[in-house]
This record gives sequence, C-alpha cells and structure tokens, in this order.
Amino acid sequence: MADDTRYAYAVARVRGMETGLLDRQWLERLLSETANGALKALSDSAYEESMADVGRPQEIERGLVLALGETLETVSAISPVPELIDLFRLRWDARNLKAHQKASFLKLEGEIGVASGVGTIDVSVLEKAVQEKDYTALPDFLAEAARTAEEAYRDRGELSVIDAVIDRAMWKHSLDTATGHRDTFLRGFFQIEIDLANVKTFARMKEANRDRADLGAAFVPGGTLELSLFEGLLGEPMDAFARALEYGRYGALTPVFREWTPERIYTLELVCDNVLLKEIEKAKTIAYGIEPLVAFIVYRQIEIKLIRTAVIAKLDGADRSDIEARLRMTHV
Amino acid sequence: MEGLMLAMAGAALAAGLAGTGSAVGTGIAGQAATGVVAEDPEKFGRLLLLQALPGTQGIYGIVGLFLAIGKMGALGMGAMSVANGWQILFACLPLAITGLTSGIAQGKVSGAACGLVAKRPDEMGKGMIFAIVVETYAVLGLLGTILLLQNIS
Repeated sequence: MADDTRYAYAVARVRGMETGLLDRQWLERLLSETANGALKALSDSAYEESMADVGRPQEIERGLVLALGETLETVSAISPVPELIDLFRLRWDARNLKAHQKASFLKLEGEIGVASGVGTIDVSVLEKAVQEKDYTALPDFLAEAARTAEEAYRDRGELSVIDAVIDRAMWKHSLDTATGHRDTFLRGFFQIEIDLANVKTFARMKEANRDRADLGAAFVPGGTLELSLFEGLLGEPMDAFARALEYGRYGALTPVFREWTPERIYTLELVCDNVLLKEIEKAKTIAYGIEPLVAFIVYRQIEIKLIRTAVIAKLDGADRSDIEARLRMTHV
Repeated sequence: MEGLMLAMAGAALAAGLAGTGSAVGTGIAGQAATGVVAEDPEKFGRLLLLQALPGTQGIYGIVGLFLAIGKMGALGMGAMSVANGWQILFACLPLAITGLTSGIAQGKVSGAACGLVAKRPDEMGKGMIFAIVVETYAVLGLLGTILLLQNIS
C-alpha cells in the first residue's frame, strides 16, 4: 500500500506512546511484588492517571478499563480516519449492550459487568435504550441487532442468542466499514480476529458436547475459516482439528489442540493473542498508515490482559511459577 | 521575447517545483515532529533539525532561479533567441524534478525518523543519515542544472 502521509502525526505520536508500554523489566517487578505492590508499581507507570482512584488491587479492573478507554479515545482522536479506530471501541458498545439486554431479561440489578468509558456510546444511553426498548439513539446497525436479539431471545429463551446476534452484527459492521474505506489491512486483521473467535467457540462447543446447530448459531461469518470446516470436525477427535490447522495461517494453534485437555482453554487464549501479535508485528514497520495505530491498540489490550491476569492470580494466592506459566507466552 | 518567456518558465519551474517539494516535505516531517513533541516536548530541538532537512530543496530552487536569471542577463534578456530560451528551460528541469520528488521523499524519511527519535532518541544520527541520503539527489539535480546553464552560449 502507498504511504498514507495523513497518518504522519498519529504514527509519530503513537511511537512516542509506545515508550510507555510495559517492558520485561517492568514485568519482572510486577511478578516479584504482592498484589498491593503491583498496584503501586502501576502507579509509577503509564497507568498512573488511570490508577489514581484505585485504592486496592481488588478494584484494579476499574483502572484497567479506564486506561483502555483513554488509549482508544486518544488514538481515535489523533487518527485522520477516526471511524476506523472507533471500530475497536465498537466492540465495547456491543459488549455493554449485551450485558444490559441480559440483565434486563434476567431482571438483574446492580453491577452487571458493563465497561464505562471504553465504547463510543455512553452506558447510560445504552441502559435507557434497553429499559425503554427504544433503540433509536443507537447507530442503525446496532439498533437493528438489539431488536433482532430481543426477538431471538423471546423465541428461543437462551441468552447465548443475544451474544450471537450482536457479535455477528458488530463484526459485519466492522468488516463493511473497513471495506468501505478500502482498508485491506484492517479488513484482514478483523478476519483473523473472527477466525480466532470461531476457533475458541469451536473448542468450547466441542468441550460442552454441543451439536452442529449450536455451533452454527454461535459461528461468526466473515472470517477466512468456513463454518463447514468446524462442522465437519465437531464429531472428530481434537487431533483432527489440529491437523486441519497445521499448515495454514493458524499453524501456531496446532500444539494446543494436539495435546488438548479442558484446561488448555486458557492456553488457547494466550496462543490466539500470540497469533494476533505475530500478525501485528509486520504492521510495526509501516511508517505511514493505520497499521502502527492498530498495533499499539493491540499491544495495550494484551498488556492490560497481562496485568489483569497477574494481579488476579496474586489475589488468588497463586505462586510466582504459576503466574509465570500463565504469562509465559505474552509479548513482553 | 519568446526566448525570454521560455527561459523564465524554466526558472519558475526550478524555484516553484523545488519549493513545492520542500513545502510538502517539511509539512510531512513537521506533522510527525508535532506528534512526537505532543508526547515529549523535550525532543523539540532534535526534531526541528529533522523537519528542516527537506527545506533545502526550496533553497536550491532559488539558487537555480538566480543562476537562470544571470544567464538570461548574459544572453541579452529580451534579445535572447528562442533556442537559448529552450536551452535554459531544459537546463532548469533537473533541479525542478529532483527538487520536487526528493523534497517529498525526504519529508517522508524525516517523518519516519521522528518516530525513531520518539522511541530511541540515541539513534537520531541514523535517522538523519537516512534522510541525508535522499538529499544527495537534490544536490545532483542542482549540479546538473548548473552544468547545463554554464554550457549555454
């Protein structure tokens, strides 16, 4: 792709922001500290502002969500095409919408797991829309998805249909927007994310002995791996799935499925992150374009996941070797 | 008069296109430098140097313009032949073309070097060298124009 010098300011600024990403030395400090010490260490890093109101490690999620929200908002603000960066915030809108709809159907009150300040739509707007069943304040595609999800839930009575309907709409919108901007990199990146989401869904479905209909309902179209591949292997041993992936783009996932145990779901999550990181590694060398911006967002997201994993493990009383095992395959 | 018009067009192209290259180049590098300074204002001085590098093509363009005007004066200005006018116009083209293209290209390299300075301030020298390599071709363009102008009689 030709240099897109509209990104000159944004890419240079992101290069500056990348110096605030946590390095191996910092990870060493995180591992050697207690949960309280880890929180203090975060206060001495690029997370200083977002952790300012977090008093104890049990509340760290609030600070991490705030940090992610700030990152996405900043990158969106400096990008010459903010609607493309906002696609990464959109998934939080989808997540919050799903949480509100599920809470509404289950008549839950109080903390329902919404993330405030990360998406493009204020959570109070989403909450009001769900409560009043009036989705006109939402973007058209999300409003349509919300109505479809409501109807699907009434028909089938399963909360999982809400996830399926809204996730499909979200990914379709993301792919369509990237295609509309003729951004082949972003479209390809979303396709990889969709593929990895489908691989994880397949592993969960297989583990839970679900049938093809369930798999088809949860499958997100738009990736490079077709539904027929997953359907054909649903009744086969996991090793067959490993063989199917072995020589393709997702060959790195093969060892996980070859030595599959239910506990490897967590490893699968890490290896999927590594596939994304490997993909984004190429993007780092682009001087002018959206690629370095996306790379920074991915790094920050994975970094936040890493911090969350480490601090929660510490709070659970896991020893250092256990935590290291969980973090072993991260990018730092 | 037609000879003079052609010669002036050549001089204008040299200054105008080389200046345009510099304007675009320093603009790109300036945007990148601003992005880095937004995160770390202390890097302003170093980045100013990188931004200024693509500005030299504009200066070469003005030098070419003066040389062309000098040659027009030597050839009698209004009395200049059409053939001399074409000669001056073509003599100005190396500077005009290399000034435009190298100014933009150097701006891109300087902008990328700003990103390098943001992440690794100690490596600024390498970033500058990459940008200066592009400068070579602007200098060669200027030299070409000087040599061609000198041989017009």
